[in-house]
Amino acid sequence: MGFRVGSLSATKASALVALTATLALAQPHAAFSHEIDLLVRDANGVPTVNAVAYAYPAAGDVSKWEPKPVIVDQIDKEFTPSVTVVPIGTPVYFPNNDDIRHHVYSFSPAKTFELPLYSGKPSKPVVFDKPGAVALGCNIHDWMVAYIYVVDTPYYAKTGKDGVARLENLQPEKYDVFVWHPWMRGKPEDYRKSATADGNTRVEFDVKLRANLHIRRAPALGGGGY
Amino acid sequence: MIRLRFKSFQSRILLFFLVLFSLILSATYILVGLANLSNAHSIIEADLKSASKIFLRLMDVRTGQLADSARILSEDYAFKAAFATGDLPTIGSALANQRGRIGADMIKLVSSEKKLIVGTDAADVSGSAFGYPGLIEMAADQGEAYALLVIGEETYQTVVVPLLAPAPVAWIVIGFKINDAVAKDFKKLTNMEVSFFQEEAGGKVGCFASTIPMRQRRPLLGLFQTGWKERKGDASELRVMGDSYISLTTQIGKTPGGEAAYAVLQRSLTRMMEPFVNLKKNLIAIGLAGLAISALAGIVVSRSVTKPITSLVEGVGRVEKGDYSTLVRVEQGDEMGTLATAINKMTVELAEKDKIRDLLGKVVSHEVAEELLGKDVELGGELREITVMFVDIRGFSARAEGLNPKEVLSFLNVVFTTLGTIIEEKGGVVDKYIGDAIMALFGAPVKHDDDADYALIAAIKIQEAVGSINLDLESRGMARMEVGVGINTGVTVVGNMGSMHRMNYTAIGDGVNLAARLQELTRRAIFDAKIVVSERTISKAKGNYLTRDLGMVNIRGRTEPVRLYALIGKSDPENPSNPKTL
Repeated sequence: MGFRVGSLSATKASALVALTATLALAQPHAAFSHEIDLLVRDANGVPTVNAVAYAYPAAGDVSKWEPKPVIVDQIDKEFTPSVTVVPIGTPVYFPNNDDIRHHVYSFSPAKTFELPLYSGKPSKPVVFDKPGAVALGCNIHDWMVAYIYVVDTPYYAKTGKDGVARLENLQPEKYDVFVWHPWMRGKPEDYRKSATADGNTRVEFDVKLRANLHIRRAPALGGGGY
Repeated sequence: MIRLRFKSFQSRILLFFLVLFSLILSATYILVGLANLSNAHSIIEADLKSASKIFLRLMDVRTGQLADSARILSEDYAFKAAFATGDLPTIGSALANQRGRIGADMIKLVSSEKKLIVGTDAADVSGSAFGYPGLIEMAADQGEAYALLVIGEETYQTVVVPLLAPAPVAWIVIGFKINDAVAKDFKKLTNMEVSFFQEEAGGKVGCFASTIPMRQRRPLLGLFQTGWKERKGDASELRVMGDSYISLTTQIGKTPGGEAAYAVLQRSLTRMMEPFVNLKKNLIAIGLAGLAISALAGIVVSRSVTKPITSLVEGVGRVEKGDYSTLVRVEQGDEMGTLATAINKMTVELAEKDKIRDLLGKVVSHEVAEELLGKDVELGGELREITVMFVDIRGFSARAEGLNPKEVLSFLNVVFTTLGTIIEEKGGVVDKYIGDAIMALFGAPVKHDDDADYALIAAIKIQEAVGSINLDLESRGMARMEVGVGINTGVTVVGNMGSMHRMNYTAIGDGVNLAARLQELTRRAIFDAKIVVSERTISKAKGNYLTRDLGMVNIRGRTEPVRLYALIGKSDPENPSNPKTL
């Protein structure tokens, strides 16, 4: 994985997806490269994908960070990625890679906005300036759902298929660790744990998930399937 | 058991027919009734079960429609936009608009914190705690939730769906009323009565909607409150206000508190059985008509049997009384006819026999006639000791000379009748008339213990009668008559003598001859006796008689003399020294 900071001209979304996390993690405290690994599982012990993990130093304020633009793409009438975690102040671009228009919106208190029917790449990004979960939808495609979780800390990560998220670039000190997931029952504060980043720390979270309440994707006109 | 006795054969036949017919009719009536009732039960139960399925399906469909509407609402961008304003009047107005769109009776918006955001009901207070937080929690877990909600007096079938923006931001609670109109609709569809019951606190049950008139709900409720839960799922019979209903109870849902609501489907058994009531009436009418017809037929049939029997009974009764003149009239060719013919033949024969008996009684004495009729008439006799009496009218020949033959016969007949009557009264039998003499037997053909006595007394009576006749004769200036009586007891041969074609019952032998000789002795002046009796008779007699010993007398034709007595009279037991003179 290469560091291609700011290379937003990349056209392949998959590359961008991989970048989003590393962009944020490539912070000034790289010298203190301590880590905390989190394993997030549901009530059945199944590793939870797309869970957001973030941490605050137990003593003292978080360090400053410089927001970097992030992309939430729209490909084949789906948001990609479906969960994105950003620190406050991050500008997010919502390029439309489909040949139809989309109408991206959010009514979430953390960020209410609307990008009425558009195609291509909007000229301006949406800057997320309040912490909290922002649910994104498309007004003309009920099933299109994505989340942007805005945190006020530079220490964040997202679980992969193995349910593991790695918080990097930490000081060798004690952190309060939180997790969030779109279907999670309860608030991140309910899942708060303490962990010391001393090189080989692993914290396990068992989260209770609700059912996915989103609308199932409708069959395309003409019977094209999803 | 009481045993009824019917004397007449006719009434027994009739009764048998009627009882048989009634039994068959009653059995038919009962069986048809039971079959109908059971059939009605089965039909109603089957109908109730399908109606119950229909009802649940209807509820599902309505709930599904509501849920569909709610889901569309949950995706409605304009509504989401309105919700995002956070302005309660705007949200409330949008909500009312949506309710109108989907035709719901109730709609509320509840926050994820289970607080009422806004509702269309007048009683809804924004910001108050929603009464059913569990329902929201259930919807959050499952995507949507269904329940019966009791709000105020109304029961709502309720659906809870999220307001997706596009993640759940609030909860839409939407419902339709289950009320009398729903019940009425359902009744239109299935022709069933339907009532809705809701469990309440404290195990009570309330009826919140029904097609049944108000006045009937209370008794129905009363019936359901006692052990109605046990009846769930099974059709059962209930009587409400005099009408029978078959009911089926089906659970239609539960409140979030777990109190179940039930639909009680009912169909009137009484109404179902109405056609049978008419059938019943017809059956009874047919039965009564049949009973009347069979009674008439029974009378006719039994008469056809009993009429000839009655006729026969009457005929036989007449014969029993000695009336042979009227024959039985039965004009039938069957057994009755044969019997009547036999009875008629018998009657004719009896009549002939009676005629013969009558004639015989005149020709011979009654006893002889009986003897002749009583057994087979055959020649032959037996040896028997009897008492024989000869009575001779003395000097009849001289008298006869002065009279014409008719007068002679007339006189003889008068005397013979008088003397014959006395003899028969005393148990004797006039054996024959020999000119102006009578031969009489005592002891044959019928034997008595006192035959000798009877003969002696008869002789005395005869002499007394002759005395009377003489008084009569004298009063007419005519000559007196005398009667001589000879009596002997001895062994004789008695029986039928003569030929097979003509025979006499009589006695012959020495005993008879001696009696004739003794009668002749009455003519002899030296004896001066009107009744001469042999010693054997006197010794056989049991009574006491006044006699005069005539000594041993030689009798013509006999070698040994015989001791004879003149019978003077019967000794008077009260005054034996004053014998009655003849």
